[in-house]
Amino acid sequence: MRSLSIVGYIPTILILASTLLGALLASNTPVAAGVNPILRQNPSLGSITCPAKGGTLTVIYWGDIKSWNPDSQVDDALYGIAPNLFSRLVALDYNYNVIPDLAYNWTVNSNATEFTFYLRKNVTWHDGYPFTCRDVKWTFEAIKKYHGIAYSNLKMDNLVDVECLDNYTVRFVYNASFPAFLSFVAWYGTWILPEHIFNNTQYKDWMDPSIPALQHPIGTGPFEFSQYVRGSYVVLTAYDNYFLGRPCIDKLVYQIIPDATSAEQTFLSGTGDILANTPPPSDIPQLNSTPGVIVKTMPTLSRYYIGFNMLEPIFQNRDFRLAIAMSINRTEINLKAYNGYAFPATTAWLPGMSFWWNPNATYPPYDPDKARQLLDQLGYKVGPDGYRTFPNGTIINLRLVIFQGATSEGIATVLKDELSRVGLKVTIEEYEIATWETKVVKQRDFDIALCDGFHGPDPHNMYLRYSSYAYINFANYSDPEFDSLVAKAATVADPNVRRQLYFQAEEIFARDLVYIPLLDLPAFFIYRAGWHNMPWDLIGTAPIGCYAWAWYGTAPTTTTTSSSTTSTPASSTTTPAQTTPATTTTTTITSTQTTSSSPPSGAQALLVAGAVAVVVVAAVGFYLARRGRK
Amino acid sequence: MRRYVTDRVVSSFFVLISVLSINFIIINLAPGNPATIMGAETGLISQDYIQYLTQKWGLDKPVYERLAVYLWNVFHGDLGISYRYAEPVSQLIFERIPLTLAITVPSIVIGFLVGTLLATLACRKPGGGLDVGLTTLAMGSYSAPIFWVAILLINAFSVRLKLLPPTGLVSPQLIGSNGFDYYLDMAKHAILPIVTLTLGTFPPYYRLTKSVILEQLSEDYVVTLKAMGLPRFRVLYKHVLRNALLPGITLFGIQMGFAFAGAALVENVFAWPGIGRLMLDAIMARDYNLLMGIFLFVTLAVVVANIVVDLVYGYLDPRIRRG
Amino acid sequence: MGFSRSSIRAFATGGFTAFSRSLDGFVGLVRFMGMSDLAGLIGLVIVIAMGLTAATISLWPLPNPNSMDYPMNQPPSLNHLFGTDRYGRDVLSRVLWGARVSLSVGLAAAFSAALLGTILGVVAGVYGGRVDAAISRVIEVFLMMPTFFLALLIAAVTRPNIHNLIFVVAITSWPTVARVVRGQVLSLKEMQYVEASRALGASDRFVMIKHILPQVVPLTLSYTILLVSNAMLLEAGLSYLGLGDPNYPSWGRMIYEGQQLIFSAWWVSVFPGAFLTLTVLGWNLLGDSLSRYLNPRRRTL
Repeated sequence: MRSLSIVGYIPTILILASTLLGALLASNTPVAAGVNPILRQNPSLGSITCPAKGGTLTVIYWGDIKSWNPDSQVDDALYGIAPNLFSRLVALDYNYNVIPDLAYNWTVNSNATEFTFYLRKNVTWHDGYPFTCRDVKWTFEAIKKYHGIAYSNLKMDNLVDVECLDNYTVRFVYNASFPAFLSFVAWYGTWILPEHIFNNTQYKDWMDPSIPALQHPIGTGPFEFSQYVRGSYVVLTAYDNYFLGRPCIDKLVYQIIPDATSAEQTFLSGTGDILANTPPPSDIPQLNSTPGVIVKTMPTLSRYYIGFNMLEPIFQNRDFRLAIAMSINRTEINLKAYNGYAFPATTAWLPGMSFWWNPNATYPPYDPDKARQLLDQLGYKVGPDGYRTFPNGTIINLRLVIFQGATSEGIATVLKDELSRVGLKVTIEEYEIATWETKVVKQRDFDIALCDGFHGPDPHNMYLRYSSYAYINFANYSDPEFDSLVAKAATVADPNVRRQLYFQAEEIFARDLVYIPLLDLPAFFIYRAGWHNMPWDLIGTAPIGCYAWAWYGTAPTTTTTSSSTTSTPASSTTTPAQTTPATTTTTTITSTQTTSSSPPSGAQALLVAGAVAVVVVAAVGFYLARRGRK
Repeated sequence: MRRYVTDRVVSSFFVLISVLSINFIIINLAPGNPATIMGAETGLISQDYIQYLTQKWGLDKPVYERLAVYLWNVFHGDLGISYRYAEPVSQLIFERIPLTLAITVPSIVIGFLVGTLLATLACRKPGGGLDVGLTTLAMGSYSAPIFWVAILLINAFSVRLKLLPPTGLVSPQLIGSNGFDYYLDMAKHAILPIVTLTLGTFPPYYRLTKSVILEQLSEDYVVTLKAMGLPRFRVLYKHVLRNALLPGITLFGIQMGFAFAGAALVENVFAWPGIGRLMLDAIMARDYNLLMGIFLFVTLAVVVANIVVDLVYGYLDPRIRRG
Repeated sequence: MGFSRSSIRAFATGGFTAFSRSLDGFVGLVRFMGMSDLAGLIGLVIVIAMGLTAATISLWPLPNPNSMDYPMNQPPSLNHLFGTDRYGRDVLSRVLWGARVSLSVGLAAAFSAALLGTILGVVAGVYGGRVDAAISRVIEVFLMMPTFFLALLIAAVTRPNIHNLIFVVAITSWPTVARVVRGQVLSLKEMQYVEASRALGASDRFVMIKHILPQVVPLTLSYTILLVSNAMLLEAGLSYLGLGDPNYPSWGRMIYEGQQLIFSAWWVSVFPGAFLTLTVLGWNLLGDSLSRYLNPRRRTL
């Protein structure tokens, strides 16, 4: 800092100046920051244009939906299909910006307690009924009444009213400042439902099986429902009266193939246009080099991290946590668990949320020698079978609890080996998700837990995931300074002030070493050449997963390389760094210990088993002899 | 005969109730319940959402009370509503059951035919080359893990030879259509699953039929027939086989149980949307009602199959009929 | 003070006799197989080979099965006969070590199931009455349940490690044994010599041990052997569905790990599957042969 010359200050001044200017210009309509919301005054921006029309887009899809109510229960499979059937007030694009959907414009008051949305006027439901503010009001009241999945996200307890100022203007009023509202209302569980169908006293609730919309969903999206065979496929057809124009394609089909390898094989044999069931990363190079197939990657806001059980005395000493942190080689984990396509996570927050990301909140680098030193200093010496023990001689056995899945298994297996190289014994316990949640979150029955999670769309996630008040804070992380920072940031309307608070919180988070991030995951887009205007190419226009703009043509132009825009690091097409693993790995991963993880031993058990076996075999032989004599 | 049947039915009934109760209790003792699963599937578990669901579904009541309610409902034909799909369980099961039957029943039937046929072939010269070869094939087939065989078959026929479609129910191009093409395509997709299952069902038939035939061959009446000058071929197929087929029928009941287990694994590999997959999903989601419904159904199917087998066997075997 | 010389001699002679008689039995079995039952001999060879592998594997000059030092995803080559997996571990080493894991799970589960089933079957058969009724009901309930699904359910909800796998397999396998043993005992009870023994005043326990148990043992034996193969397949099935123990290289677990690599690195799941098939085949052949040997009526087959 001190060595910066005056020249170095110029960019800073320019940035400050432009920010000030921007703030002045935008002061008419201050917008609470989600992540760069884009304002549109003209509702017809984003209209669909079709250089070629017709055809069917087939998506090889990974999961079956649970029901056709997108707001009542968490349904990841439906979340991928919903943007084509339903609409929200605002949506998220592939850079997690808040973009217009049913609302073409919006305003926020200065302390972020009132949010006003201006709705489009030419919108009709798939059954022809006109869309008005009534639908919005009913939907959000239903979310509150029936405890929809967006209930907590939208802080329904603090929602005072959802009022229709007129047929096309809706205002949300909160009794407390809620700057994260815009991002959350663009996220999940906020799809607008048809009031004229659902609002009927003969229905028990919004999941009543006799509601026709639960068999034949009605939405305002670009496609309307045509057919559904459970576990097999979903067929949608273009809706002529979509408010941005009729989609270019005629049919949108989701073929459900949950098994990743089967899905991949189906795609490779020529079926399907998009492979949404992401194959294992080890297969990506092959897909990439298949003629006629395009593979794009983009960073996401999903991250794998581990947490130490702070209720266990052994973790309460920061040096122990530090030693473990320094034994983690993220490059190796990335290579072996994700074929090198993921991004090693070395900072407290994700670079993908660039505005809120503090690049200085870093974790200690890989240094196994230092780690061994620390462990020795702590008094955990290496015992006779290569594992470190407590001073009293019992082996330190760290239970690493993970949930099922190829990636978590991969990460855990590599992590186990890396920790064994510094002498720490790790036992992996793998559960399916339900049991994992009970053991880890409810019962705190673990030593280290591996978890993944979506950390967007708003940094308020720091509070929701890692504060002392968070249910999913399974590590029992409790730092009063961190807590107060993230709690305060949740109520501050000015994004720059918020930013500073989060920056400080991130530094504390990284310093405390209770949660250690491992990998930031990429998204893969695998599809056939010839398809254009895919949603991941239309940053700022297309909601995630919406194929309204897609068209097929054999235009020679390469589909845009502008897949990663704005402030995201890394990114873009094809294979990153390593494809040939060979030599590179062996050089970085020399184990100086002779025993990495020792093979299954248990000498005593073996002896007992051997003795029993001998007795049994002898008895059998004895018996056979007697019988043979008869 | 009638008393025998009623006896069996009555005792089966009580056993069924025990089976249901045991399963119900095991499932409910498992960590996690549908509410926590639903809650866990967001990235951020919210306590009040879980609480809300728990109360809505009555999951906070004691196990015994829920078991009683469940059994009561079952006797009225109400299998409940699936937590996950919000559809009646019976509807879900009946939607999927035909698909599972579409691969298990043909595999049992073909297994029966193939096993019996191969056994007769092998018995023409007991101990000879064909016998040893076929026995090894049968034993090997029976010993191989069914999912591994499935993977190999997909690799061979679908990826390398490109003869058959790999997985799924139908090709996506034919989605939504309903004609002959559609069913033909579905049949094509069913070939590999059926072949895989058949590799597991034919060996028991082979073994059983072979041992019965060999036993029969040393019986008096065969010796007599041969002495009378009948060609061996005729002796085998006309007389011996008829007696040999009978024990094969008893296997059918056992095969039903195996078929469902195999179907679960095979459906997983081939992404065949039958009852096996539904079961696996239901376990993961702790969808109590659906799980119990499937258990009930499969148990019932096996029980009924066994009773039917007993009856048919009793009818066909004159010794028992008069007995 | 120690043992007297004569008692030591008696002990040694007794042990030696028992050992030689035991050996005799095996020789007889092998001779039978060699003469008329080639399949059984093959089975025996396979079983012994696998058993020896499992027992002595720690002495073999193989790379550490958990060590990730090698290049990832290498196809079979001179350096790595079975190739390497996605973490850079040597597959040959893992497959051979896997013999120990899969075999011990199979043997332990089969043994427990057979023990439990035999005891309960004999008790039910001998004591009759209410004891029999109770045990029979339990057996019926278990037999009616789709055992694979039950195993799946239990495996899914308990801690997934080797011990629980053994437990699950044992608990779903014992009823078959019990039912068969009970049937055998019931038919034995009708036999003349048992009635005679009773008439002479022998107690239940005496009858059980002296007359019934020896007859039941061959049945149990052949069942145990078949149970081993079933247990191994069941463990593989559960591991394949992801419910296995990630800390040990069992064959089922390896097939599971290799499943997603089947098109890029087929060697990771093909070899464990082949070894599993071979071992199960060996046990099946052996079991078949043994039951034929012990049942003189069927020796002609």
